[in-house]
Amino acid sequence: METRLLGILLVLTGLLAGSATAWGQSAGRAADQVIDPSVERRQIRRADIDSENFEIGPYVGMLSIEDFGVNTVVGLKAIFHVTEDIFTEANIGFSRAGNTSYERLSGSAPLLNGSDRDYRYWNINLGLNVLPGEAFLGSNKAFNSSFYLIGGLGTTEFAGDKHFTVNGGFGYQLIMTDSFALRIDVRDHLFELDVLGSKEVTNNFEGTVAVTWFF
Amino acid sequence: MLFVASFSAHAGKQNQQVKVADPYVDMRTGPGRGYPIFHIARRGAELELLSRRTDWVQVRLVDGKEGWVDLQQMRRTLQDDGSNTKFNDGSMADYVDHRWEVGVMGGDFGGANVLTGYGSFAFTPNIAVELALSQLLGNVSNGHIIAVNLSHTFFSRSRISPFISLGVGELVVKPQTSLVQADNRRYDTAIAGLGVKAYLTRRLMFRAEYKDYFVFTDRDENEDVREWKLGFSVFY
Repeated sequence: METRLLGILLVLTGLLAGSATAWGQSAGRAADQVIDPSVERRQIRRADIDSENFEIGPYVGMLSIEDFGVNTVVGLKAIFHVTEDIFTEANIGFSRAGNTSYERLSGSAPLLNGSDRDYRYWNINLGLNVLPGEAFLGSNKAFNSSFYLIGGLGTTEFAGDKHFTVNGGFGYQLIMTDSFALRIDVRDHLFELDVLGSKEVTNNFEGTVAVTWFF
Repeated sequence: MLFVASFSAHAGKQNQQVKVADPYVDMRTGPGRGYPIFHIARRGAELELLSRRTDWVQVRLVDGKEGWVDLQQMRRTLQDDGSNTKFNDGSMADYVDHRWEVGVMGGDFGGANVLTGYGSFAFTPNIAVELALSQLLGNVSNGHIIAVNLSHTFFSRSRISPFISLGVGELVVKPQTSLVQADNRRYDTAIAGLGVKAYLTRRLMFRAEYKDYFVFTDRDENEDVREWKLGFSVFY
C-alpha cells in the first residue's frame, strides 16, 4: 500500500517537473520569437529623386493699356506643374500708363495724376499644354517645346482703384536646357474702367517674354 | 569655404540606381508622351535616377545616354533590395490623408466680384482650420475680408465630399475713388458656409462653396451677405 502511494507521489513529482521544464522551454522559444521575427519587416522606400515641378522667372514685354498707349511691362511668374498637361500659374506685373490721345491733342489737364498712372496686376491661372513637341535649330539642336492655352482671374490696380480682371490667352514654351525655359505669352486682360466718362470693359493686350528656372 | 564644402558634398551625392524588370522600357527625348522614343533600356539594365518632372523620370544609362521614362514603367523597376521602386506623388490615397491645402477661388459676394486665397490645416481627416484672404471688387466699392474658419468634412474618404464651416472675420470696405472720397469702414462678421470638395488628379482638387456672412454694423439692423465661389486647390 505504502509503496503504491510512494509510486503515485513519484509519478506526480515527475510529471510536475517535466511540465515545468516544458513550460520553461516554450517560454524561452516565445522570448526568442519576440527578438527575432521569422518574417522580415518590409521597408517601403521612396525613390530619392529631385522633383522639378516648379518654374519661376521674370518677364518683360509690352502692354497695351486701352486709351493709354503701349507701355513696357515687367513682372514675375511662378508655375506649378500638376501633370504634364495641366499647370497653374501666378503672375505679378507692373507698368505705367502713357497719355491718351485726348490728353495730347487737347492740351487740357491730365486725366490721371502721379501714382494713378501706375498699372499693377496679379492673377492666378490654369494652363493646358495642348501641342507638345520639339523644335529644331539647324540639324543638330532640338529643343522640347509646348503650345498652351491659359486663363484665370486676378486684380488690376489702375487709376487709383482695384478692378476685377479676367485674363486669357496662349503661349509657347521652349525648354532651352534641363533647367531653363523660354516662355512667350500673349494675353488679354479684361476689366471695367470708368476714367473716360462711362464705365466700359477695357481690353488690355500684353505680349511678354519670360526666362524661367525649373526647381 | 562653406560654399566649397557644400558643393563637394553635393557633387559626392550618389544618385539612386534601379534595375529594369520589364522586358524593356522606352526612353523619350522629353518629359511628355508627345516626345519621340529614341532608345530602349533592356531588362537588367541599370538606370540612374536624375530628376523628375510631373509623370516623367529622367534617367541615365551606364553608357551615358539620358532620357525620360514614364512613371508607370519606372514603378515596375527594382531597387537594390529587390522591391519595386516607389515614388512620391499625389494620389487618391494621399488625398484622403492630406493635411495641408492651399487654393484660390473666384465668385460673387453680394453682387461684387470676390477673389479668395486660402490655406488650411486638417487636425483629423474631418476637421480643419483655415485662413482665408478675400479681395472684393464691386461697382461702387472695393474691400477685403480676413477670415478664420473651422470646417467639418463628411465622407472624407470618398472622391467627392461635402463640408460645412463656421468662422469669424473682418470685412473692410473702401469706396471707389471716382466717387466721393470716404474713409474705410470696418465690420466684424460671423460666417456660416457649406460646400463640396472633389479630388481631380495628382495633387489637384476642385472646391465650390456657399457662405452666409452676418455683418455686424453699428446701425439698428445687421447685414446679411451671401457669397458663392468656385476654385481649385493643391494639397500636401
